[in-house]
Amino acid sequence: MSRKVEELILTVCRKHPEGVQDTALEAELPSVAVNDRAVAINSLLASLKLQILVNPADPSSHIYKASAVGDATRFKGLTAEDMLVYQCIQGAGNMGIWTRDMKQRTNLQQPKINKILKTLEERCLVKSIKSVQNASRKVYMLYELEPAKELTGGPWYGPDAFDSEFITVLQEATMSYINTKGDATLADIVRFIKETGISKQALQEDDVERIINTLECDGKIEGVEGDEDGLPHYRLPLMSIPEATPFTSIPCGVCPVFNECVEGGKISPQTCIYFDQWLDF
Amino acid sequence: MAEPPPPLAAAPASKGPFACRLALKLTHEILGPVCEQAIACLINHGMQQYGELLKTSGLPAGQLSSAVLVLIQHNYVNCYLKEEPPTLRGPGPSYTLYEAALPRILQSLRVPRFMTHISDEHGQESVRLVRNLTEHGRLRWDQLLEAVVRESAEEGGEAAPAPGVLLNQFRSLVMQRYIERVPPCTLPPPPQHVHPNARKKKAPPKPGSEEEADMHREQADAALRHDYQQVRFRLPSELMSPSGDAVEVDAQAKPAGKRKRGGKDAAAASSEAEPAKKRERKKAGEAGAEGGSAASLPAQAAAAGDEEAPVLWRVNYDEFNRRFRNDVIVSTAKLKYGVHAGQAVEGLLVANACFEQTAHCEETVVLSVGDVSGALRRIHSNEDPPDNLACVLSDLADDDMHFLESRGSGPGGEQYVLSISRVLRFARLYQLKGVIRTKFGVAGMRIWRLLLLNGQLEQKQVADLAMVTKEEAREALYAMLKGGYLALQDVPRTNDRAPSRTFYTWRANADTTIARLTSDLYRAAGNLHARLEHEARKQSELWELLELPVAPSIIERRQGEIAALKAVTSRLEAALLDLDWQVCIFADV
Repeated sequence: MSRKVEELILTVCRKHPEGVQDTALEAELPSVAVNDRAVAINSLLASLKLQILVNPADPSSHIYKASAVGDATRFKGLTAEDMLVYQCIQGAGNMGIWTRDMKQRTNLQQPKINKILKTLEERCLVKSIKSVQNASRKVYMLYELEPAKELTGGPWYGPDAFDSEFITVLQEATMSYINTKGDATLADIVRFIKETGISKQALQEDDVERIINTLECDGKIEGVEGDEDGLPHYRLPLMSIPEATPFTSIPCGVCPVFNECVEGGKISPQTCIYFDQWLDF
Repeated sequence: MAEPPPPLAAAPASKGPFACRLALKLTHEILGPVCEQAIACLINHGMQQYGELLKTSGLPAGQLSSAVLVLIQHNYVNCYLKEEPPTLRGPGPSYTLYEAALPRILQSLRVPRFMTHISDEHGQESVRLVRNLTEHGRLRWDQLLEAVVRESAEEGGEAAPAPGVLLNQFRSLVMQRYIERVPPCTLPPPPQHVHPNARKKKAPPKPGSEEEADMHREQADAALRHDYQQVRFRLPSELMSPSGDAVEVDAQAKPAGKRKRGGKDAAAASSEAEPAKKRERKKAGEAGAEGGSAASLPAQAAAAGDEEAPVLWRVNYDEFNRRFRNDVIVSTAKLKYGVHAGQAVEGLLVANACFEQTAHCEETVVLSVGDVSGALRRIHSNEDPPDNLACVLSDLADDDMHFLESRGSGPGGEQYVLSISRVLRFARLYQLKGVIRTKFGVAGMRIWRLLLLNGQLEQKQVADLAMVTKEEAREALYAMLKGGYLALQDVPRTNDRAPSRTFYTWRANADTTIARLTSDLYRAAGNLHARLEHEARKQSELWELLELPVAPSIIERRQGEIAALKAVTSRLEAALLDLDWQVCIFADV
């Protein structure tokens, strides 16, 4: 009898992949007595064929969800607390969740959570990712998920940190392309970068636009409105930023202690070592 | 000609502490320590009467009066006559106010550049005239002539230029505004410029009120200043005669236009024989007999007085600055838009030259294509202007930078106004970017430009947009903050202003940064000057050796030291001159 009820409950749960409430189960299985239903649900939960989750629509109630095929094997041997932490991480999606938030949501102690996370990581159920927004925070997400762009910083971040070299390579490639073509649109540059295969990740137009903006701010290229298409065209500037000015040609122009220099003071024009070097013929 | 608009409020940096420090150094170098002390007092206390100056300077009366005279002679001090409003007891008291002419003192650094410009444009005779006038400050024509002739005789190499040649050169320099009449010491003090934010809307004064009297006094003062502007570049009749003789008293006494044909010779003969006081009385009588109105009498008397008084001349630094400004504008246009645009802008500025009296001009007058092409033909010896001039001007007016503004069409074709202030701002920003890149690196310049474009940003946003690491961004941001090129604002989320609960936003302002760089330029110029002084003092014994007649063997023995000293001073002086070029762009135009 109990096995039959379990089958019935699993069928109803599979019909509702988003999860089903106890009242809905009662309505769908009117012939099953409350006690039989409770025994069957407990048995299913113990054998990890069923999951109990907080109802997202009404946090005061809970819902039941049928586990995917194979989950039972993966979750074999995990305690209810382990599953609670796992579900908490699962709910965070590809944005991940910080251990402090986990503590708040699960009401478990921090050492306990740490221990559970270690177990889950060992079994390749979850993984930890360093957030680029907060280098000190380690967030957890399901092992099979790809971290969100906000978390990894997009294509500009390597496995550990900001990839300055990659940006420099892209800037140089863009510059050489504009230099060769004389005049290029954003779409041209995106196509060129894709064709050359400089980037392992597929760069979008807004990614390349950011590279172009940095070049524009450096004064290496300038954007002009195209005569025919009205789109911005990028070219080498007619008026490049001067390499040197009279101010920067003298030691004071690049002096790191310029603001502390006072006549008669410890740092003064009369005792300046930079002047000494500059006037040493 | 209408009175020119008051010059734009000078950038604070050109009156700031570093500009004052440099001015004091230059005064000390050129005129000595007593003059420096008097100037320091005027800079610290602003416009003062002689009594106040005596009290605040702490100099003995004899020394101070001599110092003030020297300073006035060299145009380092401006004098104004302040007339207090009349009281019930009679006319109010009047007294002279003294003010340090800070821009003029600072621009004395630029004199070698003035000489190069004059040499290129007008030849060696003009250089002699301008140099002597600069060295002596203010001179009458006869004094200037004497000084130039004496200088030529002392040099001995070439024959002294003929007085007629020199007079012609002098006339040309006055007509081109390189030389001006010294403003009379009876001019009222300049009007005080109220900051636009502090201006209040005033109702028109009630008739007979004190406010109305003030308004009339201001109008009278403006008229006096206008009168000076009218005669500022006018040659007296004695210098207009072909021979240049200064003995034709009648020509001085009355303007040629008002002279009666019939009585010309008789009047000339009688006035030559009569003493000056009698001549004045007679003139006043004649004016009354001619039925001149009572209001025109003082003006005529003033005009007559002006003609009779010896005219003092001085070099007009503002005209040089105006020409240097034009060079900067033309080269900027050439770099940005090409040679043809540069030519067109040059034509606009030349056509506008006769309408402007100061280097501090916001924009040109409305000029047509015909005016520009005429101006270009004039400066390029009747060569035809470029065919596509109208097209180039039209393209410039359509450009996003809005350097040129279209003002419809007139008899000479399409009409335009060139925004001088916009081009100069662009030129300053161009220099500023170069300075920021050299001082703070490529990342620094990128960050500064991003902040200029995006307004206020947090440190994280800055790093993100500039595509640099947070460490790099932080380093560049704090270096620029320390240098005064950026501003940091804290926006607390709680009343305790705890740093952990506060947003810190960064921003860049072009005008503030330009002012900061101007101040840095003055500071750097002061440092260079100080180092130059130090090097000269360090090797004073060597300098004396060079100046005194000593045995050649001694000089030969110390040849190496002399060469090193010359190399050091040349480098410092050249750097100071180069720096002054940048100061000119940032502070004096």
